Amino acid sequence: MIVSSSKREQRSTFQMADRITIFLYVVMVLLGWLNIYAAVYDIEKKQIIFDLTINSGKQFLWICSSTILIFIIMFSDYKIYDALAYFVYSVVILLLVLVLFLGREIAGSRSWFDFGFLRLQPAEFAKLGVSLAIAKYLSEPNIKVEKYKTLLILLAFIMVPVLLIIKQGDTGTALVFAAFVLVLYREGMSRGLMLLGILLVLLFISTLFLKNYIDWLVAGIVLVGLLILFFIEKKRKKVIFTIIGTALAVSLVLSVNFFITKVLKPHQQKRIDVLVNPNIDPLGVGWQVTQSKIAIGSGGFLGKGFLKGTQTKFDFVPDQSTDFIFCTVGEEHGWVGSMIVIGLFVSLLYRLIVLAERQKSRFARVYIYCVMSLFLFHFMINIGMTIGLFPVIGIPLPFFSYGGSSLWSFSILLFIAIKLDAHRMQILGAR
Amino acid sequence: MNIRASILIRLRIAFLLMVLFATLILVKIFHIQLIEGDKWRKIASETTLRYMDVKATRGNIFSDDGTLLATSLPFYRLGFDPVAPPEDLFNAYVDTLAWLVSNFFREKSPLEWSNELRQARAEGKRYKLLSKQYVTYKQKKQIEQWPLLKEGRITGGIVWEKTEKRFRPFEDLARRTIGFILEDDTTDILKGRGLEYSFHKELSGTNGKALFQKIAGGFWKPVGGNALTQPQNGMDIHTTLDIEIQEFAHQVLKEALEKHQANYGCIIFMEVKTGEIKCMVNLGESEGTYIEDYNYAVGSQGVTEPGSTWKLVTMMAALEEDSDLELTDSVQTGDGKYLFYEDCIMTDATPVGYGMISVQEVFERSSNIGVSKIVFKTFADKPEKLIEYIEKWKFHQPLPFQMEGVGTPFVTRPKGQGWSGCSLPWLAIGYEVKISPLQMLTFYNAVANNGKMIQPIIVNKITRGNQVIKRFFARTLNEKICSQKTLEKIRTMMEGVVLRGTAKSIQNNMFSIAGKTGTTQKLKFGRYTQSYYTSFCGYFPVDNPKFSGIVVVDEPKIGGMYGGSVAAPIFKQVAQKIYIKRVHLPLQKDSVAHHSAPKSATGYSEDIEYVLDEFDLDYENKNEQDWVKVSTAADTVVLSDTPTNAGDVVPDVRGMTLRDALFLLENKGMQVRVIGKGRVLKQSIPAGRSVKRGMQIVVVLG
Repeated sequence: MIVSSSKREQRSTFQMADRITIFLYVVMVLLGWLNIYAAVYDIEKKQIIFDLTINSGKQFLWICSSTILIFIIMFSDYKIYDALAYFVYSVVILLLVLVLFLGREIAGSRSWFDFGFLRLQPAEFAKLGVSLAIAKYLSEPNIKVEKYKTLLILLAFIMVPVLLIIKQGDTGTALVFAAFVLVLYREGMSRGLMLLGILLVLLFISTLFLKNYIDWLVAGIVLVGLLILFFIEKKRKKVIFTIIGTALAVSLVLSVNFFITKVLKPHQQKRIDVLVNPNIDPLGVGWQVTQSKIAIGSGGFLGKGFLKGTQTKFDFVPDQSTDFIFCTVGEEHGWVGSMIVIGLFVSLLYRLIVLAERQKSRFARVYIYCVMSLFLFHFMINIGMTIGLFPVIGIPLPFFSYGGSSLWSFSILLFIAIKLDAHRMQILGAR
Repeated sequence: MNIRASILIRLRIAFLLMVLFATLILVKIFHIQLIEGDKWRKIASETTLRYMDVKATRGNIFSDDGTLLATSLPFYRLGFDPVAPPEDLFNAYVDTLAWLVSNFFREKSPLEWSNELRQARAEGKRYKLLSKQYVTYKQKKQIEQWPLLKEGRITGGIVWEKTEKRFRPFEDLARRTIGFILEDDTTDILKGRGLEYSFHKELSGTNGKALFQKIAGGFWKPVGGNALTQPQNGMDIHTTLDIEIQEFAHQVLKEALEKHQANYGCIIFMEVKTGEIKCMVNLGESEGTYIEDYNYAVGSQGVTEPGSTWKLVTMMAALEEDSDLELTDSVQTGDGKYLFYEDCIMTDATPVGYGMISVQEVFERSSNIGVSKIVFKTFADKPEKLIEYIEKWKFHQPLPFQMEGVGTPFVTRPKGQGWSGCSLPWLAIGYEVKISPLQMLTFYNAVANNGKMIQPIIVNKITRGNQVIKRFFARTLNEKICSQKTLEKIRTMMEGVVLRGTAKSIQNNMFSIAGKTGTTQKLKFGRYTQSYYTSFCGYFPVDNPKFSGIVVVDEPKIGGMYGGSVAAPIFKQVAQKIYIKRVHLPLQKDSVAHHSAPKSATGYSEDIEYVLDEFDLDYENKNEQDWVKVSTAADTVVLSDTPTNAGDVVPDVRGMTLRDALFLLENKGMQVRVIGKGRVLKQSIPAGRSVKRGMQIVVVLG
């Protein structure tokens, strides 16, 4: 039995479903819709919000269809997610392969299926597939994240879709999968690895910023290595560890440098350059960020009011209704509006952690953590890029950005979490 | 317990990181909005740069003599900045402006305008569109004289939005041939949109990009030069259409369609040697009148069963295949009914039948039985062979043409679906095959062009300014469609159609026409009905063909239903026009005497005799006077006496040059007032009156 028909069980689903999460979801989707309308509203044409020729009208259709999906999820049997986890994962991988051949190329990336009336981006659904697969794998008996073999298998689960998505030319979405590291850490990945990871990221970033002073950077690393050697106990193991560590760091810096200057395409290089110095190209890539800052900055404390924004109206900010939707919030609703949106996200993330931690089954817990991490990553990176903290990575702000695939995938992700949580009493404890 | 503690620590660390991140974002937003806020607001309101498109001007479409067929004209929309004018100026004129706007655009009442303008000013709106209507340049100049607005952009608040619209000076003439293009055209669905669509790439040019700066009041001004790409204006398309002939043919066809209450019609004429199309008229019925609503000549809606004009094709195939077939051979057409197979009865358009007639007569009278018997005899055992000829003459594929949306022809094939015993005889007379008028004409043109089949062209060059970018010449599709012997037979038959056959009515003295009429019974809902598709296709002059043409009239309801009575007369009318305008007539010596002898003009006899002698013309001078009146009688010119020669009477100066008239009149002591230019048309005092010195006379020249 895949679909449960017991009335008692269904009633319990709705009674047990987490009201707070659902409330936050509804508020965010509606606010997002209003902001999309504000972003595409044309003072001269005065379209209504339901006008299907503009993005807000289309988003309304996406919201309606998402509601249908939500009902399907809520009425389905909670056991299917566990049972079909690997199946969903396989289907997603298949779609990612297919899109490479059958997809339609838009703005340099071949990541869309075009059905005429609707375009779907399988990469958005890959997040769901990977989340389910990780949760499933970790819920198998006798699996310990501490073991390297487990980590390698999990890494494989993540890297297969990532490589396919990079192949499509959609590096931004691929980066999102880094979010799963947080889940692994929660599930017991060693602190050393985490620290190593952070160290690597720091080295990576400093390579970006000191691109033109690579020699000095390498010299600095070697100097630090020598200093450590000088001060630590002269035990064989530690000396070797330090030397190898220093060598690794140097090779990382050099390979990253090689990667940036030789492998990255010019437009990707430019995005990194602009992050380091937004003023080098005031009308190129940095322009987007500058325009975004102008829009947010001109909003002030209370903002200019709904539909009153000017910076966001004249196509100053590209991708106004999709990736840069936060500008509209900043401009029209000011600091207060921005705080409300950020508050909503923080509340949702916090609520998801609470949900995750009250699960008895490891599958449900890991899954909800995956969802939380994905939302966290999208939220941080998206808002970070609109205000110039991160390079411009084209990823949407969950529930706010215009787009069918992303709204569908975020809604599905969240409501499977709510569904699993609603049945937490029925799910047996950790197996 | 240890595990729980460890998890708790992990959770806290993870959460700490998140909080750190969130704080970073909060601080950054706080920084941007509240600390740097003023800076960003200032940038936002003052200087903001943006790349904007600079529209390229679309190219023109010309006729063969350089007359504009389509061009882009500027149109404007009126906008107003209600905040711009100073308080006193605004209050003084706002009602006047409201009244003028209301009267000009007729959209809202003056009161409504007055209120709206005042309100917009109160709300601090910097831009208000006064009407969505576009005005012409002339109207723009007029509006710029209105009070308040005449103060200009800064104090008057007038803002113009410019756009370009396509303008066709000849409106409906060749509308479907010139075509149209929709704004932001990306669809491939409607390909039948003529030259505008087919040459869109050349016409449209490429938009430029320029850096614009937002200045006070929300206006944009272009800045800088280095980041700028200039718009590349569109190129001009030169068609081969002769607008005078096009206009004439349009008129003729329209009248004919009205007379016959037909469904639609089209006319194409092309120059035999060059393939240049001189006119392409398409008229369809629309709400009681006829307009250019579809390109029937080229597009798929015009692809239909051609009927008897097709007999030229099958007869040519038969003559090629069977070289023994002579025009004098006889064919038994019987009593006008012939049974090929059961349910396969061929009839002729005669109640009694043509009986035994020659091949030549079969073609001249367009006998269905005759043609199908000849074709059947030649190809009954090898119908594929006939198809081979049809394919050799390219009837199986769409005609290569400079326009998108060329209709695809259809030919029934042996072994194909729907091929039956009836197919071959019916294919012989123009059924079970569908082609467009232009494709049919291309074949007839090949006959006129001594067997060389060329692709018709409608655009012969593309230019940018005075520089020719590309020239087009008609490509040869088939160097020789048939043997010279067959060609001569075919031509003889075609001449016979006009001399003695179905198109006898269009014979004329001026020049000779050769061609073939066509009358197709139309197939509707699977059965042949009493409605017809009539056509005439041919060329002229016969001896040295210069132009070929086709005329199609679909479903004539009254005043005839045959190609010979409906389409052929239209062909003749247009052909005459083209002949007079385009076919060069060698001057004959005596034609001057016949057509150009001076008519009753008066002049000095010595001058006139000199001219007549020089032209070697016979003349008769009756009374050897100084001044003579010239009149042309039959073949000779007669110079006769005029009152001018008498002493003191007013002379007849009509028909004289001003020099002669002044000399005569002033010699007699008259005062002359002159009006106009040219030769003398009228004189205020009639000839023969006695002259008084100082008398005033007015001569009107013209």
